[in-house]
This record gives sequence, C-alpha cells and structure tokens, in this order.
Amino acid sequence: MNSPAPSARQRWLPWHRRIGVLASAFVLVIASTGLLLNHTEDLRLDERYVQSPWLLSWYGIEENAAVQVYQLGSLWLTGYGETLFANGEALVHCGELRDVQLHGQEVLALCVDKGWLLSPKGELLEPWPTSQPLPPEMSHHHQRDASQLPVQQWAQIQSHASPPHSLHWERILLDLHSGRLFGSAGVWVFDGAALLFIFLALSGVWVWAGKRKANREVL
Amino acid sequence: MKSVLRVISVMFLLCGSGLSWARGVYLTEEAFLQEAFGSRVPTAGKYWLTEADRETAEKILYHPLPGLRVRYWRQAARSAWIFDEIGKTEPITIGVVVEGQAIRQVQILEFRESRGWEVKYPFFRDQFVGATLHAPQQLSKNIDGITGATLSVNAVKKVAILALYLHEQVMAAAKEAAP
Repeated sequence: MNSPAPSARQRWLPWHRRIGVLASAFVLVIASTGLLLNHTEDLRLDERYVQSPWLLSWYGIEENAAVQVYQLGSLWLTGYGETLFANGEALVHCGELRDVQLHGQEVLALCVDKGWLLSPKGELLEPWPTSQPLPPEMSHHHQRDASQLPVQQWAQIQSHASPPHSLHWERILLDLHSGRLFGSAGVWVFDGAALLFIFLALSGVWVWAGKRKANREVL
Repeated sequence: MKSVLRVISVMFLLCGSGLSWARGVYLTEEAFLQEAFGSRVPTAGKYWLTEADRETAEKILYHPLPGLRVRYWRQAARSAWIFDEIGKTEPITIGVVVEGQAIRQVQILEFRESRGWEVKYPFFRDQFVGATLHAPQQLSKNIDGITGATLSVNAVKKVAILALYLHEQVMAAAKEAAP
C-alpha cells in the first residue's frame, strides 16, 4: 500500500530545519552582542578601550604611524597620523603625504587622496580642485629623513597624534551585531541572516499550525 | 538546497553591483562653468576669508572651512562656487550658481558614496532655485529631504547657504573696489 503524498508543510519542515542550522551561528552572535549592548552603561562598554593591536589594525588605527617629512627652506611639512603638519602645527587631514612640490609662488602638498595649496610660510590656502588631476609625484626632491625634523616640532606633532584610547568595546559590539565589522559585505550577509530568521519564524508558525490542525482532526 | 543557495548568491551579487553605479563624475567643472556662464567663462578669482567669514562658515558647515581663501568665478552679478562637502564619509563635489541674491542653479559634480546619490536629480536640486539667504544663515525656502539620503541632502543645503553668504561678501567687496 502506498503512503500518502507528503503535505506542503511536511515538505517544508526539512527546509525549516536546514535553515535553522544555518542561521544558528548568526543567532548566537546577534543575541550575545545584543544582550551585551543592552547593558552598555552597566558594563561601561563605551569607556573600555580596545588595546589589542590586531583589532586596532583592523580599524586602521596604527599605533606607530609612518612619518613623512619634507623641507622647503624654513618650512617643514610632516605627514603623521593622517594629519598634515606645517612647522609642527596641525593643518588638515592628509591620508599620507606623498610629495611636496613648488607650485608657482605656493607649495603643493600631495596627500594620497587630495592636494593642498599652502603659502611659503605653511599657511593652508585652499584644497587642490578635485576636478583637476593632481600633478604627478616628482622625485621627492624635498623629502627628508624623519630624524632631520627639528625636535620641538616632533614633540608638538606627537602631542596631536591620535590618542591610544580611540576605539571602545561598544563600537566593536555594534559593528559585530550589524555585520559592519566585516565591511559592507558583512552588512549584506547579516541582512541575509535576518531574512533567514523571518523565514524561520513564518515557516515555524505555519508547520506548528498545521500540526495543531492535524491533531484536532485525529481527536 | 543548492538552488536556494544559488538564488541567494545571485541576489547578493545583484545588490552589490547595483550600488557601484551610484558613484561617479556627473558633471565636469568645465561643463558646470559653461552651463553657468556660457562660452565666456571668467577666470577663477580667489576670495580671502576674513576671521568673521571663517566663523560664519564654521557655523554653516558645523566644521571649520579649511584654507584661507576660496576659489570662485564671477561675471557681473553672477557667481559660481564649487565645494567638497562630506555626506556620510566621502566628499560630494557640489556646484552652486548665485545671481543677484538668489540661487540660480545647484549641480552635483561628483558623488563618491554608495547611497544618497538621489540628490543629483533635478526634482531635488530645483528646489534651491530662487532661494535667498535669511539670517541667521538659513535658506529662504524649505527644502524637502530625501528618505535615505539625509546626510547628502544636508551637505547640499550647507554648501548652498555657504555659497549665498560668500556671494554676498564678494559682491560687497566688488562694490567697494569699484571706482
């Protein structure tokens, strides 16, 4: 005698189980981080700072950043900690100081993402127009070794450097909770996990309702 | 199971690729200036910011305006300004044309983020046409936002206000210098 064909609910139950297993890792991460974030103040997560070098590095926070030094006469331009300094004074954000060139009567500081025009005294004049291509890097004619930078300027620059306490655990947990810790792809993956949770909730209720109905019919 | 995974993978790929076209150069500086002034584009001038200008600019932008001077183009009562202003994380290159005391045109020259690019559309930009400066550094018109593009919308509004303010200063300086 042939057994009756499985119902739609019976066909979907294995999928519910498979997706449940697949989603379980996400459930653990999201539930754990959510629990901790609910008690941010009690646990002082926004006051506890990350010390782990690899985690800091993941966020692009380098403890010992590279130094780029250029000299034009009495003007010393330094790139350190993503900041451009002129004679020790912090001027503007500069991803990495790639080159310094004379541009007519002015000075052009070429950062990795932008150019800045300065006066010969090191005053920030204006950004290089983004609509115009940056001049090519030349032979780094004015580059100097970091050890040649005047000591007082280096001391001033270091006092401006990013504080070691710049990344707290609340940030890490928020980014892990949302998937953002793994970049924009991580956000999409966690969005996908959310869709799986929705599927699990709906399919679970649907299968449960079917079982209840079947039990009533048996009775 | 394999077919479900295939469908999910394709969905992710489509979503990822769909975001990349939002970034890009929509209008070159040259094209923007030609739209503003026609075939006779004036030479760029440099407006040196006073301390009061820098304070006002900081109030408008909610951050200091870097640099001691600003580039602009002027022909009679019409001026054009190009600024980079951060939306969420990346700068948006925004061009503003002011004539008399009102905004004539707002253009998005380049957009570098994955969301908020809707500000490039005329339905949003055209709202600025005719807007003037009201004290203290507000636009005379209400600008409707765009859901999901709040930061980009704010960036464009700030630049529009800044352009109106600087246009006033430039025109006042030109009037003083006139014989």
